[in-house]
Amino acid sequence: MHAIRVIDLWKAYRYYSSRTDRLKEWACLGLKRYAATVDALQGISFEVPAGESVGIIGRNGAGKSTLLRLLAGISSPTSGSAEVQGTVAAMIELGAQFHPDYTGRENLEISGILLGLSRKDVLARIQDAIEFAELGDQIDHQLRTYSTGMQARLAFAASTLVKPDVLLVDEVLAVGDQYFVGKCVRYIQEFHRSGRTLMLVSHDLTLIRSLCRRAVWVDRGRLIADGPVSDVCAKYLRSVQQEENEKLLGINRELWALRSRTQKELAGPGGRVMPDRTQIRIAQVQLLDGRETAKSCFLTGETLVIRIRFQSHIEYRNPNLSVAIERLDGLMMTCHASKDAQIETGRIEPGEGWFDLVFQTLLLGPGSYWVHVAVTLDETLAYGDTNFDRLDRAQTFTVMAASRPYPVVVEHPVQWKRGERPLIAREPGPGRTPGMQSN
Amino acid sequence: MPVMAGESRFAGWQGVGRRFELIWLLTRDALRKQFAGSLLGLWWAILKPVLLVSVYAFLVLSVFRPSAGAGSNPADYILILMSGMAPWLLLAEPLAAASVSLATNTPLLTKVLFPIEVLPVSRVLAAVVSGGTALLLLVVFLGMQGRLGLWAVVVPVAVMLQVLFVLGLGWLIAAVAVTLPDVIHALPFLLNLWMLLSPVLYSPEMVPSGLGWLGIVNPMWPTIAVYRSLLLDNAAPDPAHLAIMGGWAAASFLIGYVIFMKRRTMFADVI
Repeated sequence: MHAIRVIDLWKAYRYYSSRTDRLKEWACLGLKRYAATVDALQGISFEVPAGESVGIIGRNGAGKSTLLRLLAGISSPTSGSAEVQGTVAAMIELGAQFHPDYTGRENLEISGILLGLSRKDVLARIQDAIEFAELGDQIDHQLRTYSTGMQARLAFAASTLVKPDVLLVDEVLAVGDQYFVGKCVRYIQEFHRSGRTLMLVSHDLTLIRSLCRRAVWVDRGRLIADGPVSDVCAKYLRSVQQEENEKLLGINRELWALRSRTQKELAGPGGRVMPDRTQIRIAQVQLLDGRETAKSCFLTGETLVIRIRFQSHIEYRNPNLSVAIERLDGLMMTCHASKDAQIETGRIEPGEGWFDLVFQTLLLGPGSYWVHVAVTLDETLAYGDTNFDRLDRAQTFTVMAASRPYPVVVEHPVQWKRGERPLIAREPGPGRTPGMQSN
Repeated sequence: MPVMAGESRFAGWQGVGRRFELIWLLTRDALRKQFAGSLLGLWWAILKPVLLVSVYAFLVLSVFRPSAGAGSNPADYILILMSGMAPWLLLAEPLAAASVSLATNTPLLTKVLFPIEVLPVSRVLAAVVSGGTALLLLVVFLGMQGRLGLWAVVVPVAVMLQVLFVLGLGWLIAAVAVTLPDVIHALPFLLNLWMLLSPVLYSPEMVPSGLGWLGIVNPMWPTIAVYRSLLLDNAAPDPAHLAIMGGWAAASFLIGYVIFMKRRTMFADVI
């Protein structure tokens, strides 16, 4: 028994550049086409057995929401079929039916009727929804007095009025406070556990991984992959990583172009203060992977090499090199100075050269980061500001989670060990032995 | 052939009941919204036809001063005016309301799964209630004068036929207004024209015989004639008039419904 069956589904939207174009097309009875056709879905087929949970992933404009709207019956296919067995409810931009002049309770009543409940059913279920919303006395106030968060609560509560066989959820868990979002996620989890079918559209792979067993990846209206959630998400992530990498490489190139221009401007005539970049200059900072190819998007666990190319006009012994990695929101992740590590950087001759800072296994969790680089005098503090040259935000890179279902700041390397015998065995007795038990 | 998704809660016979519940709720809702926020609130429903009739009565009786027919007697003319205005408002107000019923509810069309054909219906019914006060006033007025006869009992039948006619036309206008919002702007003008071409401000006897064709193409001629004979003359309406009314009502209702339902799935895409 399948709950959802989609066969060769096509959906074309017709866009007219102006309303007169639409009129012109009517006027000539469709003999001449004025519309630009956009194929939002191009022949998608899949089946979902009853009781399964499926996540739909893909980039913006991939056709995910279109698919959901077709399944919900809000829009109709151009060709092919989208069938749903049993009753269906769609959570698409919740609260669209609300009216600001009505109280929360009245809005819930109207929502229930719009969702297809009889008046009797609405009255029977409304108390549960009110409790779910946790709005207290506010429920009997006009909706216009609600904050955005409160409206989000009421909106989700309204959709708990119906318990359909198939629930379609489109990116509605992005709003609201953390506590309530958690509550909504648990609600959807419970909904699915009771044997009903769930289809979830989200950008949030974490959410998809925690709610769905299966994932369908849609891109430009076509089905790219369909299978176990971890496999499909990994494939999708790899593709996103590639694209993100190219984008970031472009950004970094632009950063450099901009920087070399400002450097030229700065290197005008003037009093030369010791030290400065006319003596040792950072020529370039590169981000490389383990195979020494330029890269800007890494997976946790990969190798990151920060290559600092410099140009020296003087002879100098043991300049101190420092590198800092900062998350975009300002959290300093890690900081390294060659002096701290008591590394002799050796004698620098006039000319070019480079140093590599190797992160053999990148432990950073998913996020976007800045790389700051500086070359300073030997005798200063490791992170002092007596720089030959210093580049803040020299490069940027992102890290994506390779496999984790939830984001973390650091992927700390750990070891799991099983106790061969009780770790603490001071009082051997009939009680439970601490440590892991073998079965 | 595209297949529609999902058996919704609005399917089957149960769905019919749900639709009526929905219509009832949305009509109540529309009435509340209509008068909410204004100082006089519901009184506007009564004040509007009174003001309208006063303005036209002043215009015709003091400015144009017709010398022939019913127009020469002010008391008679006011009755003619009221009995013309009552059925007219039952047409004009609902049509204006229906034209915006979808355009003002775009979130419902694109985000919520429900039978949208009830939207124009509820707006039409709400406007029938508020536009119907003119008819109510006329009945009360005639009753106080002791001129109300037994034939007035048939008035609800005429109202029903008219509502069916307006529902169909309302669906049609609402469907067109989604793709062509200009309709919403053109409608008041067209309705004005239609009113002048209907025997609202005048009685059919006052019309030159050369314009007799108007009575054939304009469904409001037989409609107003039926109301006038039931209320003013206390006489049986011309069966031909009733038949024409019925024909227009059935045709409009069916054609409007079929076209609306054929187009309804594309509304969400157009908006």
